[in-house]
Amino acid sequence: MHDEEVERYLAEFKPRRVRALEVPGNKRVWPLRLVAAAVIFLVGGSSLWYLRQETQGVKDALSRRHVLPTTAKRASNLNAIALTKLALEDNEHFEALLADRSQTALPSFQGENSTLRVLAKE
Amino acid sequence: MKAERPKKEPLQTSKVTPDEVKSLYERHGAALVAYACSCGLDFASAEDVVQQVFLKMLRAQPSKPEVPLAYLYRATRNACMNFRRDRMRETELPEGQSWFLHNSGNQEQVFALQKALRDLPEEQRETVFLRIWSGMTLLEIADATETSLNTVASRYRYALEKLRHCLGPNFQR
Repeated sequence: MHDEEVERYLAEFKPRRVRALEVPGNKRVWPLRLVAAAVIFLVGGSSLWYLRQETQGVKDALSRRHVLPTTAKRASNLNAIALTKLALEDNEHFEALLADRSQTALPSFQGENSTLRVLAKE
Repeated sequence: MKAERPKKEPLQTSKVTPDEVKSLYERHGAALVAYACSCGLDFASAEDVVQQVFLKMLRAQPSKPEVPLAYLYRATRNACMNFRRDRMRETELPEGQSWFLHNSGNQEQVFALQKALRDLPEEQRETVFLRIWSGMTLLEIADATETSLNTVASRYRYALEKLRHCLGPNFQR
């Protein structure tokens, strides 16, 4: 038998198929990493937003506390029209003003249109 | 055997790209695993060893060898030797595993070929694999293995003679 015949015979054999090359960190992993990064970003972002909202709320509450007494003091000299306007436009301040004045002023008992007389009539 | 016209490829200094590595694996992975089996590894270990060789090439991205295929055969051979040395006590030569398929599906011929290949001296076996299952010319093999063409041609001729002798009965089809 000649060399060519042996070569032809050997060429009838094919190496068995092998599994695909398993490259670490291949494409399958990237979507998972991307999703994980997105989740972390969303959670972090929403946490920051929530904290900011909370802080803003506290700041508002504090500033309201500081503002109300001064507004009330300023409003203590207002006349009836200004008070009505304040009640319509800023009910919160109006309430604060009433609360403030109730500590320093008593309702009129003797006037023609005093609160007691009005209540008595009703 | 036909005389081959000498041709010298220019020396390439670029890096091996991941796509080239993957392409080499797709084209020659199976032959390299069979070669690793012929070095005495079972099929699963041979697959692991060859994968490691390619992954190392992928990670390191060495300068492109003049003949990447020859580099891969050499790297696989060294990896097989290391593997067998490390596990000499626990590894026995695998029997009954086929790392080749024959057109006719005849397993006897497959086992006969596998045994004949295992019995070849290392250089002859490497030459046969490079020539038959990786399609290199004898000149390319000579360049890749830094051996003279005459030596490679002799190794190949001796290998074929031995294979013919071992596989003789199987030719009578």
